[in-house]
Amino acid sequence: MLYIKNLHVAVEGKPILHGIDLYLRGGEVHAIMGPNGSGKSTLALALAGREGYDVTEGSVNFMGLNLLTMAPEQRAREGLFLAFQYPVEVPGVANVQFLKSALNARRVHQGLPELDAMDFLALVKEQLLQLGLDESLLYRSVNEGFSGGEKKRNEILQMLILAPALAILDETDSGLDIDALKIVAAGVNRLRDPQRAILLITHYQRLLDYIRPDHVHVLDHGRIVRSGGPELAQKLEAQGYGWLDDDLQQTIPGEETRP
Amino acid sequence: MSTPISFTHRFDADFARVAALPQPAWLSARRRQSYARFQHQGLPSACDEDWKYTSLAALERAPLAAQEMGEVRIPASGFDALTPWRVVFAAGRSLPAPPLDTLADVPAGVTLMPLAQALAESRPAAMQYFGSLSGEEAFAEFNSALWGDGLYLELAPNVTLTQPLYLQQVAGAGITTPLRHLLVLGENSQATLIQHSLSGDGAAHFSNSVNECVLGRAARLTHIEVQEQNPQALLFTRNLAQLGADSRYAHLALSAGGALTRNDLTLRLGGQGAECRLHGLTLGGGRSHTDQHIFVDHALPGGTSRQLYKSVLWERARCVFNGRVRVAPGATKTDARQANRNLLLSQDAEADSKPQLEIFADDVKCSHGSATGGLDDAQLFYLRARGLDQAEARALLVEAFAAEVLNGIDASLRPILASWLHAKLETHHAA
Repeated sequence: MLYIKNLHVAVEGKPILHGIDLYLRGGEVHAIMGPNGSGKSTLALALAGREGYDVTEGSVNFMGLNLLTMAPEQRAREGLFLAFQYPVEVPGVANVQFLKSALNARRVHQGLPELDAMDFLALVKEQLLQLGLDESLLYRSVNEGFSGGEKKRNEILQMLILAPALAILDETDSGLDIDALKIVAAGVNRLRDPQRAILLITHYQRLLDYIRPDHVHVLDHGRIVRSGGPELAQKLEAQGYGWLDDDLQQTIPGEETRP
Repeated sequence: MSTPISFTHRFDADFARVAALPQPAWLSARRRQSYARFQHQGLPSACDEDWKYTSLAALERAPLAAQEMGEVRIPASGFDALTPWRVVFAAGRSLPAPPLDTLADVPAGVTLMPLAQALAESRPAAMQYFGSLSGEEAFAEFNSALWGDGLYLELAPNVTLTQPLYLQQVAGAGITTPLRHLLVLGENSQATLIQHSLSGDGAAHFSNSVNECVLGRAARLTHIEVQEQNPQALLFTRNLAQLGADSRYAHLALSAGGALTRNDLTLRLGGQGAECRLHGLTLGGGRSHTDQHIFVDHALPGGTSRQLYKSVLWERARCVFNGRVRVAPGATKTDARQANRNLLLSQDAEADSKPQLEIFADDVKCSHGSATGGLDDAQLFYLRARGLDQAEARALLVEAFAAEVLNGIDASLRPILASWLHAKLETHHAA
């Protein structure tokens, strides 16, 4: 599904990721944890193709395709979905219009007919209900004036409608209260399927109580410094990220002193 | 240095013609007076603060000849379907369709006739207000001297013009006879005017029109101006409105194209509690230059004004926004807001924004803001990350930016304005 090999990424000339290796098979849920500034969001945005996130070395293979040569919209149409940490407000563009354009772009790419307004609305309304979102949300401008929780749930709504092959959730849990978190987690769990892979990026273990990952990776200073099962997340929750530090001095010789 | 004499003397033959029209003696005297003032003051130059960003060199250079009353092609218009009340002015000569005096089902209490006729008949409101607002600026005097035709609309108190009045002004090649319109809305009356100025063909032309609007107590006027000019067109409009107590004036200006367009909108909130909402959108490409000049005079207390002026500019287009708000001494409880936003789609496009707040009263709320920039990268990426291609994402964002000016316009008019906008932008995106 996704094969990341020795990925180096620089932002504005500053190296952030120093050789990430990651392999996700269909059906798997991987969690990437790490302290602030460790490069988690950089990884997510580089995979989605954000301009300014320059891959300086390495390769990413997504379902047999060279992801790094593809435009962001091509990646999306092939089934890569990024739930944004900070969903962008787009004043003047109705949420419903946005969702429909997005879905039809993917469907046309898949060789499927575009959905008409009726079928589309039926599909969206069912998902809205499951996510506890009001229908009026469809007719408001994309994310404009949405509460933090509404924005995150709107990301999940998009994800469920687009039904991606690979979903990357960038700190979707941050800023959510426990009820919203459960709703979001239920949405993600509904998407779990042998054909799909999910990459959860999170600072806290909390989300992993509701979405049980198959693998947990710890990212620090642009490198994966630990990989393990769900128990690794629990250890981080109990002990914080501090215990990694001592190890890091040995694992990454030559690393510049952290501030 | 400019040579205003050359331009101001081009019109002697036209003036002789309009001066010879059958008309009341006072009117021809007033024309003479205005013509003399126009020639005396000449065209404004860059030294004039109001013309700082707009050069009239193009006007002086333009190879324009006085318009013979030849055939002018009347283009089909999407606004035709909106209302049965359509009046066409082709090259300044009215071609009512159907004739003005037989417009079907115009409600009782509505007077709709050529302005010249209203003045010839000495209609009291026409006599009272004609020339009361137009002022002494060069293009105002030009118009007062040379106007050839125009519309007079008078609404008796409590009368509602149930459907929009659609005024189409089609310019042919050369110098088009100036138009002069006068609208007098009685107490508590209501009307919607759609004024559509367009080029009849691709030839260079110079057009000038002046509207004077007087709103009585609690009257409501929605005035939509649509300007579609060819790349050689020179257009000068002046809109002057006097707002009575508790009256409401909504103005939307959609300006597209033209070599040089100058729109002056001057409002006097001359009654307590008057409200105006002024929205404008300029779409410019090529080397078009559009100058939106707004002056809102809060003369009395409790007035509200809202300005939202936007532009979308590409290639080497330029747009000037000059928004002046004056709050007169004693005009307390004034609430005035102004916003100017410009979207530049190329390196060479330029927007000049000049807000002017002159506040001489206490206890007022006034604000203004201005922002100019390109499309938002974060928004573009967000749309592309959902599968919209770059062109589609850009088009969606540009249209969303532009369409904001339609907010607040009556729901029955919005679809047709939105599709006008969509079609205009589509032409641009395709290019």
